[in-house]
Parts: sequence; structure tokens; C-alpha cells
Amino acid sequence: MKEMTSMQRFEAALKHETPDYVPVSYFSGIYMLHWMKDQLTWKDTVEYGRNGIRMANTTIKFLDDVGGDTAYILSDVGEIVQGWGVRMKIADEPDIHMALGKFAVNEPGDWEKLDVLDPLIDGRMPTYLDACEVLRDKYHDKVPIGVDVPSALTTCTHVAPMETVLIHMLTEPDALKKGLKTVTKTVGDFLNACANEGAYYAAYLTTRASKEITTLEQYQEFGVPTDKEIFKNTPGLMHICHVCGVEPMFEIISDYARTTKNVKGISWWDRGAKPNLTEAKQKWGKDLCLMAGIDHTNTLTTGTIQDIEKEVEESCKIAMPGSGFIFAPGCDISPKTPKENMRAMVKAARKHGKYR
Amino acid sequence: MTKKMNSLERVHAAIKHQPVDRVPVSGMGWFIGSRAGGLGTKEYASEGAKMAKGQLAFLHKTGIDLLHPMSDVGQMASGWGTVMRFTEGLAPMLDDFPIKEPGDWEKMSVLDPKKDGRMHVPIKAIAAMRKEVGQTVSLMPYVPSPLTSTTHIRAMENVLMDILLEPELLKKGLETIAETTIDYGNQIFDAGADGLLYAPTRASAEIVTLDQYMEFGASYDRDVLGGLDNQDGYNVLHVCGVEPFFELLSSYPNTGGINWWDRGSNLSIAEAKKNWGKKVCLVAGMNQTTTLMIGSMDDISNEVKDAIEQGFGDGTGLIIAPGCEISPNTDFEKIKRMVWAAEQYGRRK
Amino acid sequence: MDKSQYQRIYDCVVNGKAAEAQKIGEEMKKAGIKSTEIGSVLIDAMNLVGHRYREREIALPQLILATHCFKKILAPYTAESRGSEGIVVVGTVKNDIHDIGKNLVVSMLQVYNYTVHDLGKDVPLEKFVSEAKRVNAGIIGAGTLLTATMPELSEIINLMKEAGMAGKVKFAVGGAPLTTTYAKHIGADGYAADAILAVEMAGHLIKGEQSYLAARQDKA
Repeated sequence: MKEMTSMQRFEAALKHETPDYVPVSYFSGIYMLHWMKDQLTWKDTVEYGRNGIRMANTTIKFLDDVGGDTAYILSDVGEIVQGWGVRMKIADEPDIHMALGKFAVNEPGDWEKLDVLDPLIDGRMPTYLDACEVLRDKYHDKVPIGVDVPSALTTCTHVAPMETVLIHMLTEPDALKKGLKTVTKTVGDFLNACANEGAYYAAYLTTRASKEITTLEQYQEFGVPTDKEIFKNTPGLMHICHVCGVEPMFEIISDYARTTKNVKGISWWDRGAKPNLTEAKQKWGKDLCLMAGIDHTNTLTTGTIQDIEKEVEESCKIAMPGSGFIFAPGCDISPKTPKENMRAMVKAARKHGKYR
Repeated sequence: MTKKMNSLERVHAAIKHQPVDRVPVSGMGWFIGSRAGGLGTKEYASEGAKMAKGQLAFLHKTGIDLLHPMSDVGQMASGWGTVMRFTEGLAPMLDDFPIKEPGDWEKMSVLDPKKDGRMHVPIKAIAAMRKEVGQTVSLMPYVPSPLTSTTHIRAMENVLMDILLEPELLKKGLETIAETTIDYGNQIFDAGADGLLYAPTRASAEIVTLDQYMEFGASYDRDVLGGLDNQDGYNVLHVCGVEPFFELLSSYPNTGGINWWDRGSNLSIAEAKKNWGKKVCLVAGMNQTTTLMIGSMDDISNEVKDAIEQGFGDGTGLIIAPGCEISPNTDFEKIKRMVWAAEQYGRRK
Repeated sequence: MDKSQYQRIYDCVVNGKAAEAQKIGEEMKKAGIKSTEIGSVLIDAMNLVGHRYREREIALPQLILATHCFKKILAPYTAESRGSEGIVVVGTVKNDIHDIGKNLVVSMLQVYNYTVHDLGKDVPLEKFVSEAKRVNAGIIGAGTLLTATMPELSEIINLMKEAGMAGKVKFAVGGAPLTTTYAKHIGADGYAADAILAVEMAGHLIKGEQSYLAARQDKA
């Protein structure tokens, strides 16, 4: 088979067509910067999240060095919600992403005070757009550009403390839904703006679609309508739903794949959650492209090269048949991950991920 | 030869390690503005228009490149109840502290810079000054770090004891102060400042250990600097201890320079240039307690020349400055001499 | 004093066990331990604390806590030290309310057996002279943390001259903005960069010598 470009490989996997190799992806973000500099400072951390050109150039350098098939844009969870006045907290270690500090919504009445944001000027959304533009100019249509964007319900848990959102689901559903309406429009506009600047897909973070967080009914009431509206309003983007909880709602995500044109897959922590890769392939492998394969919490951080190769080989054997598989860790890469382990992962995925 | 710059261009270029026409000069003139403008202590410290008048008078008398509109450490602290003493000829002094017991830390509220304390004074002063000078002079008012602020609202000895004995209560106070400081900083920028003289003055090893500073200082400093709306990176840190945590401070976000007392501490400009000269602009060189108080004009010129030799080898990344606020009695001619010496010895070749 | 009593006092100061300090002092007094024996342990403990501070293994919080413990242990014995090394009058000058450094100097001098008359902070300049006369002090120590109030130190020297004390009573200065250069320039007899050095300086001054002790890095 003629060697494909990363984009061709990725598209083939999403469509359940046979690529030359299993595409390889990962959620990197500031950890790429961490690996590139001997010593990261807080200056680097904050600047990274505020400078789209720097994000893009870091991504390019890392991809050249380590390998992989996607150029993925990720800074931290504040890029949208800072537009609503959420304050970020800088971690004690410079190689950790900024975290949520002070929230913008604390009382039920605060939900309806949120305004729809403009991705061209609000929060740090413009940095993502800058990053997309740089990556598009670099890769054109050879490498798929991905953006890390939280779903409407997940975004609500960045605007208000998660506990507050979960309580409001029960006690103030109408107030929460007012907020969800505004957030849904904002997230949709942001995704479209990313697509206009060259993004091919979104890792759409449906992180609350996990049974240890909400029930199916709750997610169907508060998550599903807003997710579907966003999918409908972003026809120019492919979506891979990322769920990093321990009991992801595959049934809901596969329903998305069956009922929309642009939801193609699911990314989850197959080594730490239910279902595992085997179960997922058996039950949902026809509807969903599965993006998984290696444990980012253990194997990738502390495993030997042999451990990594073994896990890669195992995952490829399980998930490759019939295509519909993108090899990836289950969630964000830890800054403790040795670069050699990342290189070994990509090398092993090429070795064991060849379609014959 | 680099084309002639105005003061603001010069300061910004130095901070961003771009070529400058000559090394910029800060007078670290805070309260001296009252004397420069012929103003009484209370009026200078309480009215924005008067502070502006005094600072602009200081500018005209000396020709320096950076102004730091500031009167005293009670500007923010008085919002929480710190009582200041106003004595003519001296900057307002801390007189009584509102935080008497550790339990008082959690009773503090976030302040509104528009109406609490005297934060509105430098904010109004900056607006007036910017209107007057346009984009020609750098305006960087003093803003204390959260840990520094705690020692303006509770006796320092007690704050240091709280670090050991009541850390969780102290941290509650620090969070409230950090929030106030971010709001204050944002309003200062809105008024027209191009940077803050942000003061983590307790970041020095003779005061606290590095671990103590990481826990009670650095965490809040990062949140303030990283949380400001303005992320242009022109802020200058001010640390006047004798063993500043330079490595730590040089890694702070949204930080362009560090001002310290090179002549009185364990860190020379040469050493700072070697280790951190690419990361931060060095703002130092003059001894405000000896040379500027009792030195001759030649002493001043020689000290400027020496600082330039130590820190201007690459033609940028240095701003000549005293290590801390100058005495309000400092002769204006001595500050002018600093500028003269910068012109003589600090031109880019 | 037995070994366990020694260890208790030593451990309390070195490890800053403020809650126990007063109780330890009361127990020692009840057990008939003399103040001079207590003082000897305190000196050993403060030597270690002082060394750790100079080496920057600890900083001001622990140093202050140690002196607090030291004072609380001594409190049941006497309100004011009656040491025999010399008599010192100490204060922070008028319009300056910073006193941490001054308090540390007072504590350290007391540990090392000086009689110290602590005038506090924001002290009118004449009071340094009048108190020194009243108690027959061998040393006046004045401190300031502000460049604005540094000139007050020269004024104290003038007042001492007017009172006929020049040459008879030594004048020492201290405080963060000061240097040996400045101290010599104004005519002070002594300068010490921190409380630990202040004790050494006092030893020289009491013998009639001058003494200027800069910090670990010379900032003269």
C-alpha cells in the first residue's frame, strides 16, 4: 500500500476504511514545552497559554521530534471561561497547566447573567485561532489539526464549581439551562472559528458523560441536547468525543455517531475505565472510531520500552481489524513522561500498526 | 547608531532586550514627589491630582525615564483598617494594624480599588500623568505583593509567626489580598500605566526560607502576575532584601525586570547578568543609602559607569536604578547626575 | 540541672515549641534551677539557632519563634535581664515603627548576659541619651529600617556630644538600609548587620573598641 499522509490515515480510520498504518495521536499541550526546555518557568507556562503562535510552533517541533499523526492544540481549561471572568490559578510546578481558581458563577442567578462570548476577542480563544492558522500554513491538508474544546456541560463546570453544577442539576435546573444555552452558543461559535482557521477535528470533551459523575438520565437532560445542537451547528468539523471518567457513556456517544454526520469517534482511558478496548471493539466498534490504546498514567510514565511495546502490540491486535482505530493514550500526557517513552510509543505503533 | 528614543520606548526596549539608544534610568522616586511638587504629606498621599503634580515635578527636575507614582504602603492597607501617621516631610508611616489575632485573617474582605483605602490616589494620578506626558514616559506604580501586604496590616513579627503557627488562617488572608491586588493592578493598567513595580519584598533569604516563600509568597505572586488582564510583560519586580531569591523571581510569569539592591545585597549586577541576564532586565546599580545620600557627583558618575560596565555589555537589558525608594531628602541634582552619567557611558555603540 | 531538663529547654528553643515554653520556665523555677543555669542552656540553644540562621538553613520566622520561646522560658525568673557583661540602651528611632531586628538584638544581648533597657520603637531622640544617662549605659544602640529616618542617627550622636557622652558611651547603629560605610561616615562606633553579629560587636564596644560587622557578603 502506498504511504499515506497523516491526514489520509486519520480520515481513513474515522471512516472505518483501511489506512496504511494506525494513526497515532496524543493530548500533549504544555508538556511538549516541558520536554523541549531544560527548565520550565512560570513565565513559560503562562505565556504558552496566551500565545497561539508559541503553542503552534511548540507543536510543530514536538511532532517533528517525537512523531505522530495529529497536530493537537491544547493549553488548559481556561481558554473559553476566562472570557466570563473565571480566574486561573498557577500551579506550584511550572510544568503543570494552569487550573481554575475563582469561578464566575456561584449562585443560581448568575447563570443568566452570562453573555455569549466572541471567539475572536474573548477569553483566550483567540490564541487557539492563532495556533490553528500557523498550523494550517505549515501543514495545509497533510496533517489533521485538532482542537481541545470542552462540551457545553463540561464548560459549565469550568464556569462554576463542579459540585455547584451537579447540585443545580437537581435544585435549579431551569437556571442551569439558561446558562447552558449561552454556553452552547459560545462553544459552537468557537468551534466554527477554529474550523475557519484550519482545524479539522475537535476532541470534544464530553467529560461529564461518565456514570460516576452523572446518571444517564441526567446527561440526557443536560448534556445531550446541547451536544447535539453543537454537532449540528459545526458541520465543518469532525468530532471525537473525549470522556476521561471511569464509566464513559458509550451508549450516548455511539448514538451521536449514528445520528450525526460529524461525530466519528470516542477517546477514553481504556486501561483504567469500563469498557476496556476488547469490549468496546466488540460492542461499539462498528459505530465509533476508537481512540485509545495505552495507559498514560502508568505504562507511559514509568514503564520500560518493552512494557510500552507490549501494550501497543496488544492494543493493535484488538482494535485494528476492520479499521476504526486511532492509537492514543487515554488522556493528557503527564509531565513526568520521559520523551523516550513517547518516541517508543510512536515507534511501536508504526511497527505493530501496519495494515497488510 | 540607534535612533533617539523617548523614555517609554527606551524602557520597553531595555525590558524586552531590544537595542536602546542609551541605558534608561529610574530614580525610584516615590514619596520624594511631595517635595518636588511643594506639597504637604497628606495632600500628596490623598489626592491623585496632587500626586501627579509632584511626580511630574520630579520628572521635570531630573529627566529620568521611569516614574513610580506612590506615596506610602498604606494605599491598599488602609482599606483594611491600617492606620497611618502623617508627618510633614516624611512618608506616611504605619501606626496601627487591624489584624490583631490570627483569626482576623479570615474576616478580611476583598477591597474595591475605586473606593477602599487610598488606591484611587495612584490610579487617578496615573490617568492625569498619562494625559500630560502621552506615550513618552514609563509609569509603573508600586504594588505590594500579597505577602508584603500582610506585613502592612499585621506586625511583621506576627506574620512571620503566623507562617509557622497559623498557616491556614494566614493563607485565607493571602487569598483575599491576592484578589484585591489583581483588581488593583487591572485598574492601574486601565488608568494608563505600562507596567507595575510589583514588590515581593519578602522574597529574601534573611527574612524567610525559600520553602516558606514558595508556600506563602510565590504561589500568590504567580496568581497575581498571571491573572492580570495586561500580559504585555513590562512589570518590574522590586525586592529590596539582602539575599533575594533571584532564580525564583526570574521565572515568574508576566515579568520583564527585577529591581534589587545590588550594592547592598549578595548579588552583583555582573553575576545577575551572567545567570539571569537573558531572562530578565536588571534594574539596579545605585546605592540609595550611601552614594545618593552622602556621595559626591563623581561618586555618582562612577557608580553609574560601573553598573554599565557590569550589565550593559550587550547594549540592553539594564535600567540604572537605586535598590529601593530614595530618601525624600535626596538632592534632585544627584538624580540628574545619574541621567547625565547614563548619557555619557551608556550609549549604545 | 539534669540531662533531661537541659534537653527540654534546648529542644523547646531550637524547635520553636512556643506552647510549652512558659510551662517549662515555671517548672524549672519550681524545681529550683537557677536563672544562670537556664541562661547557659539558652545560649547553647541560641548558638545553634543563630548558626542555622547565618547559614540560611532557617529564616526569620524560626529565629523569632526561638527568641519567643527563650523569653517565655525566662519570664518566670525576671522581667528584665540583670546581666553583668554591660548595660545597653536600645531602640528604633522616632518615626520608625519597625522593631523585629531591634527585638532580636535585645533578646540576643540578654541571652549573652547584657542588661538591656529596651526603649521600644518610634523613640524620641533625646530619650536615648536621657535613658543612657539614667542607667549608666556603656552602649546606646539605635536602629532604623527606613532611608528617610537614617539622618536621625546622626542627630543622636550630636545629642550625645552635647550631653558630654562622646568617647564615654559607645554608639552603635543597625538596620537593613545601613552599611559600615554609612556608620563610619556619621561617626558611629559600631554597626552590626544582624542580631547575631550584634553580640560580637557589643563585646568589642564594651572593651572600648570600635566594631563594624558587615553581613556574610560585604556590603560596605
